[in-house]
Amino acid sequence: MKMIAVPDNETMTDPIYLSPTETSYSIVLGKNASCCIMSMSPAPSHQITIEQQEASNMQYLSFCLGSENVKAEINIKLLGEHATCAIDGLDYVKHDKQYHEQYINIEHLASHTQSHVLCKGIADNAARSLFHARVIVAPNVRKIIVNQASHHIVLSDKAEVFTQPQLEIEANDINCKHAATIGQLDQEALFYLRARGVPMDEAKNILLHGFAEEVIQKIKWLDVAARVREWLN
Amino acid sequence: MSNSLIENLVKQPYPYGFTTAIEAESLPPGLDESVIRLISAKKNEPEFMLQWRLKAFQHWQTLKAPAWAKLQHAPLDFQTISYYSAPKSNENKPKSLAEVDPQLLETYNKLGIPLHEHARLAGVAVDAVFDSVSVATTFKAKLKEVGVIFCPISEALQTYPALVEKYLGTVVSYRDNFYAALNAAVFSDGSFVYVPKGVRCPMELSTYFRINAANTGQFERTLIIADADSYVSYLEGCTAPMRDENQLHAAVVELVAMENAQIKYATVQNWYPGDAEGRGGIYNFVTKRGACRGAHAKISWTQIETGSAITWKYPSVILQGDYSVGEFYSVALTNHHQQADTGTKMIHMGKNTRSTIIAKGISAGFGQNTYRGLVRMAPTARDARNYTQCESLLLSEHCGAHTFPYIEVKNKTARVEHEASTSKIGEDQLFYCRQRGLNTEEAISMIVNGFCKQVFNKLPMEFAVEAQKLLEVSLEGSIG
Amino acid sequence: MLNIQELHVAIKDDEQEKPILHGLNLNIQAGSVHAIMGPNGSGKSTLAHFLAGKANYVFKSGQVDFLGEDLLALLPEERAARGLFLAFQYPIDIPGVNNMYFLRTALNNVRKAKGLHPLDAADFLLLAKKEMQTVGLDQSFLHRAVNEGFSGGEKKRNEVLQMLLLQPKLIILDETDSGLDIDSLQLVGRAVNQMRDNNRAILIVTHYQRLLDYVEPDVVHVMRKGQIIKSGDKTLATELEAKGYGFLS
Repeated sequence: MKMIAVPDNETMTDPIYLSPTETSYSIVLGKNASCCIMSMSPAPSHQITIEQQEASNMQYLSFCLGSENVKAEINIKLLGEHATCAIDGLDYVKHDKQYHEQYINIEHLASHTQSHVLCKGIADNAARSLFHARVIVAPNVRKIIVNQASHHIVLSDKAEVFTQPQLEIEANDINCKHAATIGQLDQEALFYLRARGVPMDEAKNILLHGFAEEVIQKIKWLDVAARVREWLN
Repeated sequence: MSNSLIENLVKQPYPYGFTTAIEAESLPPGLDESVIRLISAKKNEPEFMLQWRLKAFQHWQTLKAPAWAKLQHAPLDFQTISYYSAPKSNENKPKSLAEVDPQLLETYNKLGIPLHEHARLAGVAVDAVFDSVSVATTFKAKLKEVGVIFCPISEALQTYPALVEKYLGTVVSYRDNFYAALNAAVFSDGSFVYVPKGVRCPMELSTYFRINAANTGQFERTLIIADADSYVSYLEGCTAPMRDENQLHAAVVELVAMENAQIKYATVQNWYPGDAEGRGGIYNFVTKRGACRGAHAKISWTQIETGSAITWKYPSVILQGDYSVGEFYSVALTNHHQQADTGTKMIHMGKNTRSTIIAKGISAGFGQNTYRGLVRMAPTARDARNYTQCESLLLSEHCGAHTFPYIEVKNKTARVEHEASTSKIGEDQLFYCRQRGLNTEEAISMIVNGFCKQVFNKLPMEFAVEAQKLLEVSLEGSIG
Repeated sequence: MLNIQELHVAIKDDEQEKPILHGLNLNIQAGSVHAIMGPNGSGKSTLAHFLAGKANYVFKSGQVDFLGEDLLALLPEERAARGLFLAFQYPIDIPGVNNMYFLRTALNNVRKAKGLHPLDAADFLLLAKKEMQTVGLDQSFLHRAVNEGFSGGEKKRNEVLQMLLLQPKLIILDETDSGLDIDSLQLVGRAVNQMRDNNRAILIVTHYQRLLDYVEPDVVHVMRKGQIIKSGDKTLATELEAKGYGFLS
């Protein structure tokens, strides 16, 4: 188990990369602390517990673009007022029997907290992608904002996608939204590209890139973003 | 505008709490094989029915009551409930309304459904169920003309046993779950509808439930079959008197729609919800399922749930036929200490099947409102589509709203779109309405109505108005 | 019509109170048009919303009389029934609530307070059609949900439509000119002028001169830090426009 404590008022300028050998993390963010946790392929299955104090800011970025099986569990407790967290993830599973499972648990235990989740997935061949997010808002907290979005593209008939976006709300001064979509590549867009001379495979690629772009733009480090784009090819 | 103002508005006492002083013939509490045999004998059922009940009972004994829903309730002791109660004056069945016990009819009048009125209006054929026995069925003749069968299941078992045997338990088997098994074993009555090929049922069909005697669980079983190219619209509405002990309601509804057939099933549910401290109230555990067996079949569930201490129901549609359509429109209100865990399951098996889910929850007081939905796209469900919209409105500081959607997609051409939002009534919205002269009650009513409009629009016209009033009544109260 | 004396009001934000109005005095006679100008944070909007009865304000001390009655003893809808109308700067949308239904219900409530019989749907439609022409809103707006999907200009016109239908006695316009193009501005100006009457008073809360070109004020007040620091006639507004608020300090 790896413990990371980000001290009060500290903003980590570089992302904390999850190690290929460590599977369990416990991260604490102090007051006004800020950090970014990055999970890049090849990443092992991992379990992360995060506790955030007042006005802290946490971003968890996950790009699972390789051939590994991953079960990721992220548990976040927003303990201090004005704490915010963001989970942005992209997974592309394309090998038979490959799976990517994400279990996210976010607890809003203080007022004025925010959580934003954007997870996109692409499933091909006989791979499986599972997204399970549970957001719990405790009673008596106020001014909570919750945004959850999960979007999947299914490329083959044997691929499977499971989505379970859950909300448990006990307070009433909140603004919560979640959206989930599962579907295929936009057929009209595909045809448009092909009608302009772009061969099918390349057209598909272009659309998949477009799909992924929303998440890639969440990466603050341009060189890392560039690397991810390359990877997607 | 404080939360307490809103809270005061939702504290209206239940208006339907009264009892009829009629001698009821009830079995002593307890459930064993002899009770099952007695129920079947009292109804003079064909042998296959008794055997089915016994098998179900044996299976039930191997099961444990489910505990997975996000509900908190005292465990039910099934041996302390009586499983049969019929008003005594029904020993020799009435042949027409004129023969029905006038006190019974008066009860129905109190509930707002004067059978005589209905006879004259020629609009809705009502099959009124009073504590497990159907009292009167109006309009039998008119329906008979077009070949529509609408009668109590107990009667159908006498007159059309083969038809019942063919379909009973084929959509909800007694093996399905704990309460389905219990219902199959002890159900006493309910509605049976059969619409023949090509027939459009000429009127809205309706059944009105009531639970009267203390400690009587009510176990209805409804079976509706729409044969190819037919159409039927059915409304179920219920209410119950005040009690201190909780009462159980474990019904089963099976719908079968063949090719090109359409079944609309609407429920306006107002069972006693428990008092302001959370005592008493009905436990409403229901299994409702529709099967779109033929191509282009369509089944729509519309529900307005404002009553019950505990609600556990997931009207579902199995979309087997290609191009079949399933719809679920729901408004669930929880107030005081009510708990509702409700939602739907849309199982897509056929090609080009479509499902739409619009679920609106309103939580007030200490109410807990949970939406639980399953959308499953099987590998065979090519080009299937689902659209789900869940919205929750929170009216107090102590209520809860939860959503647990489960989405499973196993083929690449299926499309699922799900959106959900939870919020409280905007203070700005309220203030805006009040600045224009509306008082708080009117403003909240208007906003809540606007919130529910999409669902109310799906109800048959006659009942849309009733539903709106019911919601207002459930939210009414004195402004402190 | 409206008499405010030594008004002290604080705003409630979570658990904390922040004083906004510090001893404001204002007297508006029937038949007059007043304008209140001032920089951001001066408390102009607070005054407007407080008079309409918005909840998150705390009355500390002072006196407010409207048509001889203690305004603060009345609920927002009671103030509306007595003829107080606030045209909001950011009108909110109310999804699922039909605009026509909303307008008719509001109007009938106000009519009831005046002892008039309610208008039925047909009569109301006639009345509404006429006024919609005045504000330049197409008929279809009657059938849409209140303010939902309306552009900024359309929302303001919807506010003015309500004003024309409800025929209030004291009209408070809260930054009604913000975000309006010239055509909309002219239209709003015309509609407001239409309401000028010996028995009515209009209070325009604004940053800018613009609307005041169309609706000439009788009195112009300047607000700063929760108080009215200077009052004058319409030339004061021109002076402010030319020199900015700084020149008054």
